[in-house]
Amino acid sequence: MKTLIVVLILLSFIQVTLVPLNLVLLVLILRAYLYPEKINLYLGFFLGLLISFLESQALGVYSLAYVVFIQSIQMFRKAQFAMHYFVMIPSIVLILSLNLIFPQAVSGSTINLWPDILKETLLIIPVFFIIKVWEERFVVKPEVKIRF
Amino acid sequence: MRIIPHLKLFLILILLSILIFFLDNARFLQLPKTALSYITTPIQFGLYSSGQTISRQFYFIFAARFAAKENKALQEQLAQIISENAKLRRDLSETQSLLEQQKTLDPRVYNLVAARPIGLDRYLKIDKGFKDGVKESQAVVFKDNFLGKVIKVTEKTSSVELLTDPDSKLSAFSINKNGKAKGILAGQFGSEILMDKILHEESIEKGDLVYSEGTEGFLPRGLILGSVVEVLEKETQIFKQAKIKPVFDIRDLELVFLMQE
Repeated sequence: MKTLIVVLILLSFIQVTLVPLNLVLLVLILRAYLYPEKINLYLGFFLGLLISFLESQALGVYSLAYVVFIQSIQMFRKAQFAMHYFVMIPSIVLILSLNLIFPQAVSGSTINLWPDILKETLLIIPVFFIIKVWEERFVVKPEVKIRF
Repeated sequence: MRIIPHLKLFLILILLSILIFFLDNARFLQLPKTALSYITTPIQFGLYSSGQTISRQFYFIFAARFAAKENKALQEQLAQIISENAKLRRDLSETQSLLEQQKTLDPRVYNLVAARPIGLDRYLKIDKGFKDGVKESQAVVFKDNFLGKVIKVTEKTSSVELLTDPDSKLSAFSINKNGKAKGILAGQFGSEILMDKILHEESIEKGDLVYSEGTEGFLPRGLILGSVVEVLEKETQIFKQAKIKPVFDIRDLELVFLMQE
């Protein structure tokens, strides 16, 4: 978990300075998809605040959006068909699009998703597998019990 | 199983977000934001400048690709400009020829029409035809040199019989300090012209210019037909002959002129 927090903070800085894509949100909603825990909501809230601060936006806006998105994903995740790729990918693309549309709509600028939405869509599968492999191989789960 | 998992936490976080939003708008959070910026700004700056340094290393790859595209576009442009330049030079040369022609043959006396040579085999082909007022037997000149006679006319082109053509026969004369010589200029097969029927007592030497008599009617007297390159004299022959060479090589001419009147 500490590693995840450090990586997410680093991704926040990279998102703001180098790569203008929603890397943090992508990681958070994919993790929420794979492991629907309440820690995701905490992560979404604090990292939303951090990103609002780094982007010089009003504090609370991104944290509100991230918490809502994560909670939506965790609720949607309960459906039986939710883990199918043909359902998962469009739902994540929808969340990412809403995240792009909302600030543009609020600021009154022309809504333009292209080409950021394409780049973020292409990152879904690789990030999904990175998180899955990382959580399965390197994170100790408290549920694992050794039987004697 | 709850329909909305972690509902309590979700609502708390939503309310906290809204509270922070209003506090920030009311500028109550300026101090902690300023304090935090002392930590985050150097990190942002460091990451940004590192990113710039790295991208500059790869810049040459993009620059090379762009340079290649630009090079190709410039080459095409250059080819176009060279082509336009060649056309302008040709136009300039033709205009100069026209001006020089007007200096040698007075346009008030002769009605000259410019034509471009467009082919050369036995006959010289020019780009003017009966649409331009060309008629058979009209003389073709360049400056004050006679080149040939129009023998065939189509709508837009004409064929010119040159002095070197075996069917070409003209009355000619030459003048030097020793006197005058008269003869008949006939074309030979190939690129030679022979001045025949020259009396032995008439003086003709190498280098003398040969002029038209003008007795045929289609060309005036005094046009230059060529220069003498060799005099062929045999005592057993009644007449002597002279090999004549045209002053201008037809292949060097970009413009010729038709004498219409």
